[in-house]
Amino acid sequence: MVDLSLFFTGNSFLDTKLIGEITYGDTLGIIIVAVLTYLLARTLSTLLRRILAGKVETSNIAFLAKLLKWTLYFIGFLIVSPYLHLDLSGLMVAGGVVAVAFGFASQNTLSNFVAGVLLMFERPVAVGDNISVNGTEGYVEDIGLLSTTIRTYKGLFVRIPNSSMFSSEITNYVAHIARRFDYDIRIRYTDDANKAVKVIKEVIDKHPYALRSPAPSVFVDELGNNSINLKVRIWCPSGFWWDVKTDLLWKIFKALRKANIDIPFPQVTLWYGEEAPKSARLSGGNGFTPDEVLGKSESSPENAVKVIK
Amino acid sequence: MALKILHTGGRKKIRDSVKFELENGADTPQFSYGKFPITYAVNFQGLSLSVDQEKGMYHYRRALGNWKTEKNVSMSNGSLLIHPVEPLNLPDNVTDFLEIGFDPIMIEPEGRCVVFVTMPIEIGVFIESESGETEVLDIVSYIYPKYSMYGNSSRGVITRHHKSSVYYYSPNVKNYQSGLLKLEIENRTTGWVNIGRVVLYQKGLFLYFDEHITAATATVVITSPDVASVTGIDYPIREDMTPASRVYVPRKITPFYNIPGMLNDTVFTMDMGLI
Repeated sequence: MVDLSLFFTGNSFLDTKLIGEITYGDTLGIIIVAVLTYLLARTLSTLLRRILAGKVETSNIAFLAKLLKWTLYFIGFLIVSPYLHLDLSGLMVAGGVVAVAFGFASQNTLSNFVAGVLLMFERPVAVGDNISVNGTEGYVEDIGLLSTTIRTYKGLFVRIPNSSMFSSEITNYVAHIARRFDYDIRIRYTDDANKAVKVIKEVIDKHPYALRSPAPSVFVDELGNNSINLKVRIWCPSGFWWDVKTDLLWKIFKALRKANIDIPFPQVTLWYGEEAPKSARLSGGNGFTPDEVLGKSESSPENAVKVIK
Repeated sequence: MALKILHTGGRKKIRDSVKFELENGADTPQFSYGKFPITYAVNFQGLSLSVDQEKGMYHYRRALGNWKTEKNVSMSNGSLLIHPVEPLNLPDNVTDFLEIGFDPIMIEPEGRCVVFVTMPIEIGVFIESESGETEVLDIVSYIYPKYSMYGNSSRGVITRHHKSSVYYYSPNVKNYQSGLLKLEIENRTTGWVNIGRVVLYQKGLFLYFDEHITAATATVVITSPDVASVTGIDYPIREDMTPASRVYVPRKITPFYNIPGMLNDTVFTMDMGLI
């Protein structure tokens, strides 16, 4: 601590007592320290606001700036206490005891506070983001110093302590500018899969938010029990993915229907005795026959049970 | 209309070598952009737009096919501005970046070239009060928007995408659908480079229009085979062009905005590929 009284000793006026033990010199020292503390606190809190602007929530910036300012005021008070001839040793002991008691009592609060500060700098989520934490999904409403509040999709208010946020796995659905979503679309074996792929690609191409790059992919993913299973993968801006997903699925369905391509019902083909399986093409379809799909050896009567399954 | 474009080797200044030989599409009906009285009506290529006054209130009505909108405007007097605007507003302002893909151009080491590509145009309808304050009333477009992504999802940007041919002269375009983007491309590397797309930042899209064309200019400085800086130039491609009103006036543009370089905040650095 700087002892300003050294500069003022030997001056009879400054050594003159003003109030009790406090001299004019002490008063001058108090005024100088107070002014310097005030200027330093204002400068540093303004600097802190500028540094954190855009990185931390506005309300938290104001809180941190105030915290810094009052901490500096407290340090300033400690500096001027000798000029006020205050004996703080008793206060220090009492303060220590209170601090220990306070520390035990507020262990969780402090861990939340520290986690909150760390979250502010790490910034895995921001207000308005669509996230999932510990099974809770929704929009981030506020990131406080002690807790983060989430508005779920059902409109419920959920408060998550920051220590829990900090130690949990957070999924931020909109942290990246774009995201992919998939559809599994099933068509009949009698339908032309190439035509279905073409129809689906045309629908996707017409949608403004279905991104051109990365290009959407539509392909035959699986030859299922009852259907040809198509996989559709589409990228879109993260902020619009839900709207696009719900919008496109119905448009794809309508376009497929218009092209006489339909979603199949679950079906079982039964063969009796030596009767050969009926070709899908002969029955008016333009797709694959069971022979083509399953291989000729699979269609022999002795393997019929296996084929049907 | 055709613009005679000269390819030059080295780093010679080539802006003066661009010549206008013919007028753009004299037989193509073009949209009339400009400043009009507040009670005004347009009926052009399926677009009908009108402002009527009724009981002291102005009513704006617009229809393009089934796409319709109506608005009420309370003002004592003013003007209607119909200007081409940057194509970054429909269906929503999703991004600030316009990406134009074109057939790749191979550029010789330390070579330069000037080409024209087309860009989509949106039509902005503004109202201007007597004091000169303008506000967007409506934005409409004949072009269906399509978005894309430049780069990857963690580092890239969403872009409004447009595919264009490459022209070494000014093509005949419909000024209500497309504008021209003049690209002054400079290869500063010592090897051959391929470039097949440019990404422009909204701040750097300075549109100018006249009775025939809507156009903007950008410089593309290629500093490595995968990196280029694209800077919008606030300069008309020919004389007597009018600067278009901007839907989103940038709050802050550096005084160095018209000078290519590090201090220019209208620049976009394409660092994730040029093809």
